[in-house]
Amino acid sequence: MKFRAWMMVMAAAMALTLWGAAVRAEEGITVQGGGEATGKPTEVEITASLTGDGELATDATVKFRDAKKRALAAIAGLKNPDISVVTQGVSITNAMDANTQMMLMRGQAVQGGTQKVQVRENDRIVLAHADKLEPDVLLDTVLKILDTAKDAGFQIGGPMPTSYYEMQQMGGQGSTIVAFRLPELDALREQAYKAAVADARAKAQRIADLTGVKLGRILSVTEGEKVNSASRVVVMNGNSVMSEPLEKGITGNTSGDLTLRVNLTVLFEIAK
Amino acid sequence: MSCARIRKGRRRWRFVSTVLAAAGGVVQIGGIVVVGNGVGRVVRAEEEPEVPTVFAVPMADTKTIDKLDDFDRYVNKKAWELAFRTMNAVESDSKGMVPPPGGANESGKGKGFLFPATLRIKQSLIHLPAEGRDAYRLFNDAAAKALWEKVGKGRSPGDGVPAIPTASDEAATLRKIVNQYFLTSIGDLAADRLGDVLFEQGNFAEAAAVWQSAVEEYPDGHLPMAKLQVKRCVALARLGRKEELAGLVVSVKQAYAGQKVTIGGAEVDAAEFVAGLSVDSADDAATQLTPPATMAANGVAATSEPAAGQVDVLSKDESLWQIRVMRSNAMAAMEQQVAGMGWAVDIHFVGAVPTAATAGDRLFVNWMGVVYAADLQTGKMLWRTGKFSEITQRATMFAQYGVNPDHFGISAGAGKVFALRVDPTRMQRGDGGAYTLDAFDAETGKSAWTANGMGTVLTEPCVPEGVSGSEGGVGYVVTVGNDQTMSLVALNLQTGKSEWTVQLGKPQGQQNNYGGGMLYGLPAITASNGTVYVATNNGAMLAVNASEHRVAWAFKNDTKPVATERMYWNPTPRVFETPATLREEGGVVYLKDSSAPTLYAIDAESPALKWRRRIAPEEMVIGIRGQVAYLLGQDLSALDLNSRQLLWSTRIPVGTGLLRPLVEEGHIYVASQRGIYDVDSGNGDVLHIFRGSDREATGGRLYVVHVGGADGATGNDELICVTDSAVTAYPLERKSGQSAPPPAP
Repeated sequence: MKFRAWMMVMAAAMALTLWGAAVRAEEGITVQGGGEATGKPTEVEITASLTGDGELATDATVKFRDAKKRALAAIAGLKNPDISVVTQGVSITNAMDANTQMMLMRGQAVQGGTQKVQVRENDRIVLAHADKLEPDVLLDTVLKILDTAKDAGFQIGGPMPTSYYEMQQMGGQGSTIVAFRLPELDALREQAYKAAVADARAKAQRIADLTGVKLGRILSVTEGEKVNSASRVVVMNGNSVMSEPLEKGITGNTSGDLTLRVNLTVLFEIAK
Repeated sequence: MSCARIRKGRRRWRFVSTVLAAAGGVVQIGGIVVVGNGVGRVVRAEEEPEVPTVFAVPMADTKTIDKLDDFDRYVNKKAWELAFRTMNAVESDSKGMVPPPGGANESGKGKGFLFPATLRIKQSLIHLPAEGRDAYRLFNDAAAKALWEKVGKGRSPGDGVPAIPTASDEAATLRKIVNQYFLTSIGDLAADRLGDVLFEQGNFAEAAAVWQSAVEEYPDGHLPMAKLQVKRCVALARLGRKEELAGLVVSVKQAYAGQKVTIGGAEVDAAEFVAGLSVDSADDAATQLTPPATMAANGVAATSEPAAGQVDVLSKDESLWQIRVMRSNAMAAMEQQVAGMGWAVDIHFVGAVPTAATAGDRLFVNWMGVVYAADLQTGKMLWRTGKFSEITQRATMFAQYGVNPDHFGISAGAGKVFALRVDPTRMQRGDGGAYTLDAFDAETGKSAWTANGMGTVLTEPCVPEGVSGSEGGVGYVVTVGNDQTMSLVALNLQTGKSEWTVQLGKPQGQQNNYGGGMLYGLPAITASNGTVYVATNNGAMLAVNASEHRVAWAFKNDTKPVATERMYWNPTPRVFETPATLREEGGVVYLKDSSAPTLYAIDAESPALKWRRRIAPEEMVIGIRGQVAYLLGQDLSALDLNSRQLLWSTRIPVGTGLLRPLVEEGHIYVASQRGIYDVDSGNGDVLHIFRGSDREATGGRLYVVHVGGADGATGNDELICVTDSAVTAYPLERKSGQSAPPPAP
């Protein structure tokens, strides 16, 4: 008995909510406002990895240990306090030797194959305070890091294509190995939101003027387009677009300014 | 703080170490079955022969093997008469190889070895019980003594016994006694005398082995052990085997202190005498047969080594001279030509590094069949055998007829240059003999001879050090005939004719997609102290006695799988692969096939397997200093030969497996695709990277030469780097001490 009463109350509440929303939608002006804010990337990030592999796991240990030791020493040898190596953890896998790969590629049966052990650590080599450097100095510094890292045994970026088909899969281009990042977005985000709200208000005002109503207060704001995404932030710089969770900052693959673009869906009240 | 910040690495590293330590046991225990060979040169077969599954060493027939089993059974039953009758039947009619006694037992040190039946019998006899020995002597002493008397008469002819005319005949007779009648009452005397003869011939290794056999294997001998041991010490000193000698000297001091022996007509104290022996350098000791690869690796071919305590150090990143033979992207352009041919193209030009050899003040390079000579003093090209464009325009023919650009070998010696070449146009015309071994006059480049009638030559001649330009000097090559039999041929370097041939067996090849014929792995040859070792790169190594022209023993080793069916469509990338490893150092042969995951150390004299160890398939041994072997694959590593532990490893950006690094005192130089790496051989630290004057090259072969002064005291040392597009010389500086101060990379 109690349950039936509770269900009836819930149904009534939902009906009232839907009716209220419909009424509000009819009573307001909904617009989308876009805002942008531009900033210089403050970090340069190089995707790298270190590996050590051997027929014996103990060999893989020595190779990985020494590879890491020498690679970190080489980066330290640059004597730049703004450079750091951030490890993203290690994986241990069964590496496939080149001949086995070749035989598989040829469609041949492989009997057993060798059991190489591979230790792989994915790293990020990060240059901080990149925005403080002149463009030429920044370029020199990044290239110096690249050379040093390669010489020291870092595998930079992904592997190069080894066949025509692999090259096709990669779109005829190598992978991006240097990213320019703006990790701290508070100031930029505020500017962009401010601009987006202003843009929305201007649009709504124009609609109000054209329709002869008076624009009231803001009833609701949804970040992103109204459709279904709660947040959609487009990050742009130069001619490329990269996206990632906003809390990690914004990233581009050229050294130019990074742009944070915010879209807001704003519902304005029609004043009586 | 002026150093980079490093986050999170240490803790995770501890975790990895722990996991790997646990995993290590599993991986080491895991067995592996790997057989096969690398891709080499095409041999056109007139008819389809029977293809063995791996390299097939000629085995004795089942009749012989049965008789050997019978012999062992009779010995166990103490049926001596039957046993020795069976043994004599085997000796009189035995061909091919047989496993050692108990060879079926795969756990012993004899695992994988094969011997001629006569040696197998000797091994069985050594283990006879005393009763069996007595019976053996009853049956065989008379025949042995007759031979022994023949040797004595040969030394002092008379009594109507024909004299033995030459020392080699004396050695042959003594060897027959030692091989067939070792256990007889004069077996140890014959072994001692054979050791003397071999020592006089300069064959110190075999002399030491025979004396060792007399000491350790002959029961109830008559000879003074002190004298035999002293002789062994002298032979080891002449061989430069420092550590082996040191061990024996300790034994002699303990066992024979105060005992007098007569050496060279003088009576000496055994212990004092051996204590005073000095060790010849390994280079001096290896006077009989040293392959050109070893010669050049040590910088001996062109020059003199630095004095003791001095070291050649590359200290400037400026070239002395450069000969550019090709634009830097020529190989890529050739690769592009074959890329358009469609499916199943397995020929790659990018990554090929021309082979080279040095002699005197000259460098000789084989650029895919075009041979040229460079003056090491002036950096001028002296002569060449053709136009480079003739090769670059024929890239598609290389692919069509399966000509592998990696395998144009070259060596020099006796005033000549020997080059492996191939003329694809002859293949196109359907002519035979497209693959040739050609000799050129080193001075003028004029053609001297082309080797004929010995099948396809797979290796450039291994020219023993000290072979002069006179008649009779031989080099050793490996050939494959139309019946797919692989042979070792002793080649007269002046005439190109075969002096003698030893059949080794049948390799397993793979079909060539386009032009037919078979592709074989490239064998390796090295020679030392009267033995020529051939690694077939197909699952077997054979030791050939150069004085007796016979296979002394064979060893079956791991090798990579062979693609016997090549029906594939995708273009395939180049496989990173290094050549087969075959090195003899201090009586130990180090062996590894291309792309096989096992390195073997074989005591060449016993012979016995000292140890084997899994290493990365793409690695090769580039040098051995003391008890450390240096390996190069994707990494440069140091392996402790005593503990077999990897000491250190350094990642070098190598783009091809065909590099030729240099292992010098304190330094290892590797011509990588990012310059010449100078690595501290003690700890693997990169001391310096010389970008050099040939920056587009995939990698290079390095040589140390001394030019401008034959005495070594005058003139200059140079580091020569041979790449696919140029030859570049860099100045070397002789410094004292072990290693150079490490400049910032």
